[in-house]
Amino acid sequence: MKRVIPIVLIAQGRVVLSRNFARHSIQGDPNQILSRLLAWDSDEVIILDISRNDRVKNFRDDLKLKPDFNTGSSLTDLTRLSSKLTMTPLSVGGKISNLTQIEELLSSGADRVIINSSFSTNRKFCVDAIKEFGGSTIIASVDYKFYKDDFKVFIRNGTECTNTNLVTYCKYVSDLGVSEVLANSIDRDGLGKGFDIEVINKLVSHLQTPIIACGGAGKDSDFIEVLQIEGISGAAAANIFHFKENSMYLLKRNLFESGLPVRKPRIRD
Amino acid sequence: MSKDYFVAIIKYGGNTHSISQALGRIGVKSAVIQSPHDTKLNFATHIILPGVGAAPSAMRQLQVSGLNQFLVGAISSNIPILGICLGMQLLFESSSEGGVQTRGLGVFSGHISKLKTSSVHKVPNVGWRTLSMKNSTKMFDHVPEPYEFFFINAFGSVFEEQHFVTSVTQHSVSICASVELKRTLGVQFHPELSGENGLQFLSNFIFGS
Repeated sequence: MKRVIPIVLIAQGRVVLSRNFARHSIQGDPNQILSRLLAWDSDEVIILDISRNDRVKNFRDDLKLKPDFNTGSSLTDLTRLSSKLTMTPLSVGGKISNLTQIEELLSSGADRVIINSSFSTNRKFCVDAIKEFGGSTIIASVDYKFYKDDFKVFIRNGTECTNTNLVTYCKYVSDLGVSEVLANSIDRDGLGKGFDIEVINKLVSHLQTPIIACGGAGKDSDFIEVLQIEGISGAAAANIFHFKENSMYLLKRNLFESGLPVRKPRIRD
Repeated sequence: MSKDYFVAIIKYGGNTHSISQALGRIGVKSAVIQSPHDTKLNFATHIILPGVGAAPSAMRQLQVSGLNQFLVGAISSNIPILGICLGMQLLFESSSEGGVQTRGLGVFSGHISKLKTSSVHKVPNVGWRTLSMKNSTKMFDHVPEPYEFFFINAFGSVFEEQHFVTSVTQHSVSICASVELKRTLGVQFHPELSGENGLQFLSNFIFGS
């Protein structure tokens, strides 16, 4: 069965919307937003910390999260909070660069940890992480954009080009033994104009590792379109779930009724 | 019921937090065990072999710690044991994970091999899958059809008609999803990642066996 995965983007301890990886607007209290998403019987939930600076002042006393906003700590708090609220598989990531961080997130209730830039900057760490925690615990997040006549992989929140072709890069992370690849189109991020069907199709047909498509979801039919790709593992989105009441349930009902192999939607009490 | 349930989670590498947390949700205490001399083992009413790591290193660690001998004893004295994912695979005769033949504990006859990809089926097999029931078991009581559970596995036991197979799931071929012999159980899926269905399954294992 194919999955629909809400992504909660966190910056400086706040839930944000993102557009082309550049503009971020605050959606508010992660507590409330996570409770809502988790109550919707999602197939899996992803929390990504996309904070740009390592040290940020906390202006929001109302968040009641009491994190110290040094690197990583807020993600751990949110992971702990989320894992208490849900029994859905929980995958978390953002600036993962050492084994201690992974251990801390797993012990806070994460089921899988998502690694992005380190696959390019620190191969040894990634190999060690897969050896230590098992490939089934690690997801590779790969951000890409059309740049100089080719789809190239970008790291560090899309600010740095690796000059590596997307398919080549995805094969590299797959060969290291990750459980899945989260492929995110920077060009389509936050625009709501549909998933990158052509590129995702190509990735799915070239790779043996499962692919989760991300970037561009704007309406339910976008999910129907991308999930029709044979062999795709799932589709993820962030912004779309913030604007509509019961958006996850309605989307899943739509997908189910259109005959796609998804879990039967249920309304929770 | 006044009985104190206590689960020994056998550690051979990897993440054991998800399973302890799931047990916590159904009000069951557990401890991670790395040595057969750990005194907490005396209080264990149930044993879980968690689903993390790779077969060769897991088996090696069990041999080095002596826990493999303990497990053989526990199986023959009918202590309820649940192997999850890799934990289930270790209960079979052998596995070819990592390009070498690793001998397992041999409770279930059969061999663990790498899953084959197809245009539709990727490896690892990740996500929610449905089960088809085979030989009867009480372990799925109160789990609603179509028995949705979360899988992450690159290896598995190709299904053959055997009395111990209680359910299968479809990959490029049918693979064993759950096996059961007396009080030794194995599941290829992860009950600790399977929401309410997973908790119901774990409750059946703990409170029903």
